[in-house]
Amino acid sequence: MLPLEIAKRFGKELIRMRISLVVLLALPAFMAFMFWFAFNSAGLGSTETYILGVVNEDEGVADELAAYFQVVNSVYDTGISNTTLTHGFAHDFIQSLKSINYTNEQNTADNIPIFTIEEYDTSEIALNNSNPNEDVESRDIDALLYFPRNYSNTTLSAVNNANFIQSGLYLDENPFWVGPPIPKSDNSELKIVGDEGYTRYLIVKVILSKILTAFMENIHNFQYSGGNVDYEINSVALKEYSIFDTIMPGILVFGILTQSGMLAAFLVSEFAETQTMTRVRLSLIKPWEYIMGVSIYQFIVSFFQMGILFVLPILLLGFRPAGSLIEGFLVLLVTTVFTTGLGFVLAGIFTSSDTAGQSSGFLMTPIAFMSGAFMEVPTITLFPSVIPTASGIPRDFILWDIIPTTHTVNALRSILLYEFSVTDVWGELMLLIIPSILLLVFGMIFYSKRRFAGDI
Amino acid sequence: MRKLAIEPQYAIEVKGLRKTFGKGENKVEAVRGVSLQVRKGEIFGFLGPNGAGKTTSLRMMVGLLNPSAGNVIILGKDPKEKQNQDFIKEKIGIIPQEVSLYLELTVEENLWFIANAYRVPSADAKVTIDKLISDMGLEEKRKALAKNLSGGMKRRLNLIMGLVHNPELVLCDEPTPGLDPQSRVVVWEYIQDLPKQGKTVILTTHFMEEADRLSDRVAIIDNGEVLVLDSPKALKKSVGEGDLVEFMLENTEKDHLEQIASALREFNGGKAIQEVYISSNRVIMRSKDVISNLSRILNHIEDQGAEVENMAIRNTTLEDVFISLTGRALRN
Ligand SMILES: Nc1ncnc2c1ncn2[C@@H]1O[C@H](COP(=O)(O)OP(=O)(O)OP(=O)(O)O)[C@@H](O)[C@H]1O
Ligand SMILES: [Mg+2]
Repeated sequence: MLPLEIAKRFGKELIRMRISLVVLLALPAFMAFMFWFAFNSAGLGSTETYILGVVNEDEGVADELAAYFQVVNSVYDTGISNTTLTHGFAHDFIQSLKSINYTNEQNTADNIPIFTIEEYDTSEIALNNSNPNEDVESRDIDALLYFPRNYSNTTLSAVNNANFIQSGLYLDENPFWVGPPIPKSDNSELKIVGDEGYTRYLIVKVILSKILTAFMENIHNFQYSGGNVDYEINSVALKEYSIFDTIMPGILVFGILTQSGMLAAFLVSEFAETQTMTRVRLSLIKPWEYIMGVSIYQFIVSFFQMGILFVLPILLLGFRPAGSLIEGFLVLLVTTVFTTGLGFVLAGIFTSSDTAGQSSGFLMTPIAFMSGAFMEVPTITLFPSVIPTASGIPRDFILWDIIPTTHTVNALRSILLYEFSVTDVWGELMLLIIPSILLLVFGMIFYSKRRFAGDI
Repeated sequence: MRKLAIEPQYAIEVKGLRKTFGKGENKVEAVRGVSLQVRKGEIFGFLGPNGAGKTTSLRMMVGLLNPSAGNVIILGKDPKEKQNQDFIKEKIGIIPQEVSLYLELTVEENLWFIANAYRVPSADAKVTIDKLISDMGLEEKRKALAKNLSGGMKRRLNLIMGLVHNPELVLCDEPTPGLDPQSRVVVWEYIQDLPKQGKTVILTTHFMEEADRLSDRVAIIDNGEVLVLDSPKALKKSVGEGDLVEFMLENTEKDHLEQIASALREFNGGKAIQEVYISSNRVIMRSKDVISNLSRILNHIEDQGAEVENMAIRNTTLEDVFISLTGRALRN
């Protein structure tokens, strides 16, 4: 098999060229160590109180609907027909957020609240006296929770849906009860606003999503059994993280990004320095065989590089990812599609391996930074609330989402830190995989057009 | 035995081959209309100074460069046609001017990679590789990394890299620079032997000895044009009969040299000396009867107020052919 021979050759060359091994392994490992050194002591997580801004425009359940709701409810329990059911689900939700504490098992008296709630007055916002979005940007609040006008109604509708599925009863379309339709509006979804690059925001989002799931289950149970909206989520299980742990996924991505430059330098040196490309082109090796060999090689390199970059911080630096290591590893391997594609593109552009290496170094650092590998990057929203996330609350498509590795970083954080599975982060994975495959295909075609045809 | 009609007569036929690099001010006409035929089984030499267009011509012949104009037929087949390409690739071996090796691979690994690249069956490859390594005296370096070979060894490995797949047609671009005299002779003898294995060789060089010694026919190329094409013997004969005498004079001023040269042209009514010219601060003359005239000629030079520092008598070389064609020396 010719592609395997080619992969083998690249592999031998890599192992014998110590300097490239250094770039591939020692550099990211050194980076990991530096960040560990800087941030290891900075704890984050278990008892941190987050500041949550709340804008509540929820108009509650419409009167006639509320009445109707009780009637339907009475199907299950006629005994409570005259009690006020709710001031609106948003109101209930906010109340419960205020009461949620971290459970400190050693000292129950010492419970620490998860959130400090900062409620914004909608009339003040209208007068421009307060601006919650500015507070998000200045990070005065960690996240902003926005309940739109129709929040209660939409929630009710969601509950109905669930009921319908379970019991066959459906509130507004029940053939035996003709009631007012639930108003549908674009403006009906709960929004969580925050700085995607801000670690505290990411954590808040995860906690909120867990609470929201529990909340929905509670209203559902309530309606199903005719009880009150009364639920207990007093503790949310959170692992203890250091800032180092939250940065580790970024370092892994930085490591994998070094592959592109290395691959480009390798391919260009065959073309420009050793000029062995002359021999390859005159031989019976077909462009696709060569490209396939290179891709196999790159995949294997990636496998080992990522393996080592995973294991080293776990063994030496106390990196303790809570989530599935195997799934995190898979996400990184998929990212090889992107780095390989980029490598082919760069190799098609540059004509000396030095400039290829240097220019890709120049390119990779901003890519790593922009994908949020090391620190929070400013949010430039292109399309609001479009990317499905593990928390179930869609996030904005920001400028940096164009870069596939942004999604590697996000998916890795969700999986390794917040214990989501690959299926939970499918939105991020699609945004990683689809552009990466496109880039790889483009890169392969570009490379073979530039180096397997025309003058050499 | 009668040859089959379909058997092509030529290894390579080239017609009106041109190559222009760059545009506008940077435009270089590297090859300007080269037409020639290389016969099967011959060693065909391309002799010309640096930048004459030898490498460019060779690269167009094997398809590494697209000609700006003209066409190439290899073993009777047109390389532009897709179905001929693998056939042609199998038949051609190139020995590039720039040493092209995988520096991080050993001598053996380099050769094996090429064997694989040409899908040579392992059993055949093993025999060929062993033979090539011993032919080039690289046995001791079999397991050495290519980057740790000496310059001359790299050059020898570069040579056999082009022969692993046993090509019918060997294109050899400057095989010997950087080789010590013994290695050079080894390589020369090796190349001279290739036609005996049924191979055709195209050789480029700017060493006239090399072209003279190895080639059955030589094309002298300058500024992208073939000036003459013939056997070395015929080419040398074309510049005139007799031996050459080179005088190195103490006085090296140009005007004075010219004066001496014209005095020599007048010598004995111009009968004894066929030709006089100046090259590299030396006065060179051709004479059919050097020995009997030599002392008188020396006197004649001294009469012009010049002191002969050194003197050499030699045969005509291809360098002289080149000078007579272009008025310039090959190496300058
Ligand atoms: N890729 C290129 N781009 C521009 N000019 C080129 C290129 N390749 C060759 N040339 C020019 O074409 C001319 C012929 O070059 P070529 O390499 O064919 O010479 P050569 O006869 O092989 O010389 P040498 O004996 O030095 O190897 C030179 O002027 C060279 O500068
Ligand atoms: Mg050349």
